[in-house]
Amino acid sequence: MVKFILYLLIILCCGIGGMLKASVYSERVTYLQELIATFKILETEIKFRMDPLPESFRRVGNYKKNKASLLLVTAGSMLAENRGYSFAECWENAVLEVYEKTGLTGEDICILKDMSIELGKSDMAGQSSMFERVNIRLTDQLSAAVEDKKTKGKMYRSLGFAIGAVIVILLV
Amino acid sequence: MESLQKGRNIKEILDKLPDQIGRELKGVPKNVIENLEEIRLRTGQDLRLLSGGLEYVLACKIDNETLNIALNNILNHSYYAYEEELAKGYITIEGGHRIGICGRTVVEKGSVRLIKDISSLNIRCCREMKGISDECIRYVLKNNTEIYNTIIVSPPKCGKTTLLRDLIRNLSHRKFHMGVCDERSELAGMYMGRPSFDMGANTDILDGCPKEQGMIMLIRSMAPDIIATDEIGKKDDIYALEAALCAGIGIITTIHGSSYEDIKNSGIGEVVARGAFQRIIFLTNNPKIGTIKEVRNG
Repeated sequence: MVKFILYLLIILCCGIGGMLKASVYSERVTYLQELIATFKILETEIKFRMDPLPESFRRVGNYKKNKASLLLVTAGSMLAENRGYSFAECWENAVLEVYEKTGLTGEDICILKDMSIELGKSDMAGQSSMFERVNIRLTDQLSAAVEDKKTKGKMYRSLGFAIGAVIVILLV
Repeated sequence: MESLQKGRNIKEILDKLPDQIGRELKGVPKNVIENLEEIRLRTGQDLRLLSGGLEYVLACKIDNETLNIALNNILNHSYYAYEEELAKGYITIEGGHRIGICGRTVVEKGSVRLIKDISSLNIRCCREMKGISDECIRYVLKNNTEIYNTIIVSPPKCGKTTLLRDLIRNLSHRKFHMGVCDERSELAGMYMGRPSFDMGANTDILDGCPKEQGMIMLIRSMAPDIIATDEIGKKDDIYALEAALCAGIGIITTIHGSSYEDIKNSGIGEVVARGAFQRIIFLTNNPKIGTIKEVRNG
């Protein structure tokens, strides 16, 4: 009976491990979707209200409770505190603070960091084209992430349980 | 004058300046800071302050980087938000402080589109001096319910805006419904929907709106007793002025100039010549800023 429970635990643990690994792919999809939606709102807000970035970040960041909103709130408060950092430093620090060690890949994070090159530094037409480019790049990343979720996510979920089963078979 | 309440709030300015300049300003005597009128930053030059009519030179060389950090902070890292103002060569920050900008202009279709390669900044510290209008309110008030249409005339830096701001507060406290068209955000220093100065309880402020449109909007929407606006003088302003006068609304405004001829030759000269302004108050900075030089009937 004890052995049976042990085998069951092994399969369960390996399965959970696989599911955790697979969840990274789902997480990436969610975060990218949130980013795309939030940047759309930010663009609209900037175009409509013409508020400076710290204020726009604060407003849009408080619309929803998710990671993308947290990015804006974090960047906004870093800018407001103005601890001798440039805009690029504040934005990049906020990106790392919010998205480092999450499901986002290095390439995703690089796209976010690159925004600091243009964000706030041009007229409205320039800002619009920047948001458009970011949207295209993030949408491409999202397509890849959805594909990864389908293939790798499914694979890791199955693999976890399969490894557990193999270990149990070997032990038996 | 003892009753004057000097309200200085230069924190907004200090927050925008790079640490290097902030450190220098900390060493400046309190009375100089309290009477600060201008901070001038020019590339390759020492930091200069104008306070109480005197110029102070601080041993703090301004380089391009310092100037750019200051400008980025002033713009809140958001060029797009100040696009139009930048093209005019100045921006107004919270607190109503106006910052003049010089550099290389980029002209498109005959109009200045932007200023790049910034070479100097002139930070003009805005001041609130409650009670400064107590002396001249008698020239403005006709009776408890009416005023004389008044124009305040002086060259720059003689205290027109400061006097007009206090007149608005004073009249508002006297139950006049004041409509303020603050095109350059200097009068009320509006920030996030709140004025930086005491504008009185009966004052409605239309912020950042061109005068010729704003005055008409105020007439139609807020039914003011008096419309106050700063630095009038364009031909386009005439229509709005006439609309207000026809509606029986009092006008208080300011204009650059130093004599009656100057205002007669301005864009609103024909309105002045017709006697639309019953009171013309001339200011001077001699012996001090805000001194009334002459009051004449229009």
